[in-house]
Amino acid sequence: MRVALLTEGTRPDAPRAGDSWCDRLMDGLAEHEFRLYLLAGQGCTVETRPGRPAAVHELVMWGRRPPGRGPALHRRRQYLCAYRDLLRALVLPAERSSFAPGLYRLAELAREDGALPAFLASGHAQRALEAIWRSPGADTAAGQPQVCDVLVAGDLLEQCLRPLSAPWYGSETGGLGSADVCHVAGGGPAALPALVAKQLHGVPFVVTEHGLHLREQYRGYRAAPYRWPVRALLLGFFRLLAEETYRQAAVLTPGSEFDRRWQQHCGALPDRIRVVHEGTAAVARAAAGPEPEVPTLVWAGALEPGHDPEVMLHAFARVRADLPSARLRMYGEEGEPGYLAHCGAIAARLGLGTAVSFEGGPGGAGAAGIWAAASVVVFSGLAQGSPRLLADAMLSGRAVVTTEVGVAREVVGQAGLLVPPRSPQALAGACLALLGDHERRARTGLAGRLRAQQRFAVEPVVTAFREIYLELASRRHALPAAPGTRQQQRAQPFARPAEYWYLGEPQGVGEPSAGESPGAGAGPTGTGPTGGARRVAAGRGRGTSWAVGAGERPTGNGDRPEDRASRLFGAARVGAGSGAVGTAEPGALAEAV
Amino acid sequence: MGRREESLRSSAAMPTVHRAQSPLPGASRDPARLSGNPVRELMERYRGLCEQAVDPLDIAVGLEDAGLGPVEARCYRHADVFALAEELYARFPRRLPTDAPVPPVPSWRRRGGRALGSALRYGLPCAAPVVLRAVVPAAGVPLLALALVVSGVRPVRSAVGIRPAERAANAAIARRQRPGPRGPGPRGARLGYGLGVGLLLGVPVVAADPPGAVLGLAAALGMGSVEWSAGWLRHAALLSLGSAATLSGFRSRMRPVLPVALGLHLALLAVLSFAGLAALTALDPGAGAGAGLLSATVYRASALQWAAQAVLGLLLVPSAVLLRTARTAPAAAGVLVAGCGSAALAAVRAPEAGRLLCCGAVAAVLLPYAWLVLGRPGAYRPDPSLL
Repeated sequence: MRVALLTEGTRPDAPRAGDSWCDRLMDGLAEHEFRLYLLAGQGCTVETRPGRPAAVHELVMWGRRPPGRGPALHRRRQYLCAYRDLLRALVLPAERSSFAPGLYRLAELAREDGALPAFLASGHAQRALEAIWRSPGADTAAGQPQVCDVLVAGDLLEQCLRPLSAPWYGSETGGLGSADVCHVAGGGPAALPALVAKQLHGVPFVVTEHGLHLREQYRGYRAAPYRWPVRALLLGFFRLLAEETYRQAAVLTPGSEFDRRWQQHCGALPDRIRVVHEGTAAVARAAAGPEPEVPTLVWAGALEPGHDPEVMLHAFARVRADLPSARLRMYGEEGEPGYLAHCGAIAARLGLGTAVSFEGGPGGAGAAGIWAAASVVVFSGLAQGSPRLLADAMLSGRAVVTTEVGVAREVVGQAGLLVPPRSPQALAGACLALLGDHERRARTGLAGRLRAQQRFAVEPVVTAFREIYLELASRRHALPAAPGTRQQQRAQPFARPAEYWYLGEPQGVGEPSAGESPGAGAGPTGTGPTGGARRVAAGRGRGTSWAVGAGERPTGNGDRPEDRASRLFGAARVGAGSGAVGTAEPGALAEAV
Repeated sequence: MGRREESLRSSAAMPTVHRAQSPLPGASRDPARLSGNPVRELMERYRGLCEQAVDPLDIAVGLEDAGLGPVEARCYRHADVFALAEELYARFPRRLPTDAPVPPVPSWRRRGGRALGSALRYGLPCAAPVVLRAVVPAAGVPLLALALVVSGVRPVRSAVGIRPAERAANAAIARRQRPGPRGPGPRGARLGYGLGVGLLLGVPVVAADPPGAVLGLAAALGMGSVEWSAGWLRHAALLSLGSAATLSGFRSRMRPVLPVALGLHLALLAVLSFAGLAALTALDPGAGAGAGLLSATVYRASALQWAAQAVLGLLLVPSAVLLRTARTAPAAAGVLVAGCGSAALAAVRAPEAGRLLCCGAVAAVLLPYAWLVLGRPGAYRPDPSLL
């Protein structure tokens, strides 16, 4: 099966799903052919192991506009109409429904002449933005947008819409049209190519989000140096994009229940959501050794108000009042300038003296070294958007105390202690309860380790996505029908015959079909059977030219019969549940990941 | 921080510990004790967040970052944080900061320093051949060629490397706004611009008669005024960007800026030219000996020479402005064409007429173009991080 993996490179103000997760997925599903479509910043290099993935396609985001001329005079009006539809949806509450038509129309125009970036930077686009932005009834009219806001917002929109101009939408080898499934890791602009591929070629897509992209945008734009109208416009864009993505996605796989609630609130259908926890290689790590002789609390997190180290210091002062031998080791880099000194001053004022030590980053020993130094691990943050750190601490086998925020409840469950945030009294009580009871501490730690091993192993993740891919591929039609017909509306499992995967290119492939873009229809040579079948079907009706002979098979680019057969058999193994990855030892698999 | 610390110290007594399945909120989190309407207390606490939120989800993110979850939302009589955020969003009117961002503009001292430096960079190399010709009148062709090289290299280098920081900024703007197919790359365009300016300023000082050479020297010194005009135009544009509410308002503010800058430059150029000619007349009265210094100075240069000097001023200001608004290709092409044309016509013994013709034709094209470009706010990107 050919899987197009779409993801976005990291950006300082909006962290996304990590690339390592993609590597783990590709390693676990070695029977599938992955192609990586990366939206990266300038100067971002892609490091891939030989052969994994099969191909890397990169599009530069977040930087200077790609070179190119604007649209021709007779096409500018079409661009303006589509852009106005998009903008109206962003700022006028009554026009929200025009977002998707505007977006797809812009994508279509960009595919035809590639002039979208230049158009969005032109004076025509700026005037359209200004007129709609300041129109009566617009959400953003109250913010009194200025000329500089028009420029900044236009630039940001141009960067966000850049994937619409990517040269990825053909049916030839390497195009998204030749993929069987698109997998979007991270959401946001990375979902744009998947949306276009679905609209153009009917390729289903699955969206995986570990830490919701939309939520990260809200957080990031709060600290960004943009004025309110720019924030409102861009966040409106991301919100509508997320809604459209959730509406069109075949399956959504958030990393936690916490994210699932957000996706559901943003319009995702509950029956399309499957929580797939983020697998981590740390499940194979041995439990931490014996506890330190001195009762020690370890706190981990960035030294900033959001992680609330102050509460930890106050709670520790109460712990020390009952248990004078206790120590507190605080691990974490300074997240806000001067905050380390502020915490040190609080510790001195509370008379904690040398009982508290600020250790900085984890150093060479890594996170495992941090947990090994603890009797009890404590998290006092006000928000827990990602389960990574909590799960890592639980895998050490140490008892965990955490504030009940974000994903903490579902991650810790009954295998740890939850306390309300901003409450030093409750935090101190939980710490004392564990420090004073060795048996309870050991039992809680073991329960936490077992729970984390069960939830955050890599193998369940791989198995879940193997099933999802198979399910999506089985629901697709062998040959796409005309839009709006009953056959298209009613999906049937395994509607594609085996010949679709195995046999070569059908006759009459070279004719570009009506309704397809020039890019999509170009190049009869080197195309896989998928693209050829689609073109024939679109041009002549379903199955009219499936007279395929051995002599007509193309020979290029991985389309040899044995390659296709191996793909077919790989899919069969998946169906039988006896794949190579499925039979591997969990530990060995995690080690490999 | 002190207030926060006190609130932490004086937090009410909490139940010791509760398990994950026993969602008992702490006493300090029980809003019902604080007021009859629990949401009102929340509104006061998160007033800033609610007033500046772009939508309910913005408030929901803020509440979650502050530690509120579904359990706490139920205490406020809502099913989840989203419903609570929607109520807060509905109950608060938007109060948005109306202060417009002021883009960083260089100070007048910096602009003045740049202008002075530019006048010296262009003026000194052009003064060398003038002085050389005055001291050694029969230097011959080799000396003139050497002077041409000496005087020509400096303006070219000055124009190519206007200043490292400025060049970097211009290159960044050029990369952002006019990439690839719009014309030659920034380096090639700047080289062309430097060659053109070198020819326009260098040829008169080495090949024209004494009044022509003095006028060339005045034009070289006037490059300081060109630099100042370009900087002032950018300064005015950045200020307008921060204060103009609409694109048309920005255009209307920028409309008179270029004519005013041109007028100031022409006035200064006239003063410099007159001073130079007066010095020449005082040292060498020539044909006007016997008349007053004022009239002799005025008549020392012909009307054609005065007109050519004015047209040169009209050409250099818009080209420098275009160079600083990332339109490097038109600026370089215009100056290069004018310079080559002037040099070619000077070789056939019609220096002033050739200069007037070439510079006038190019200025007639560049001036309206620069005037239009200056009215486009896209020429000045307010956020360098976007580049």
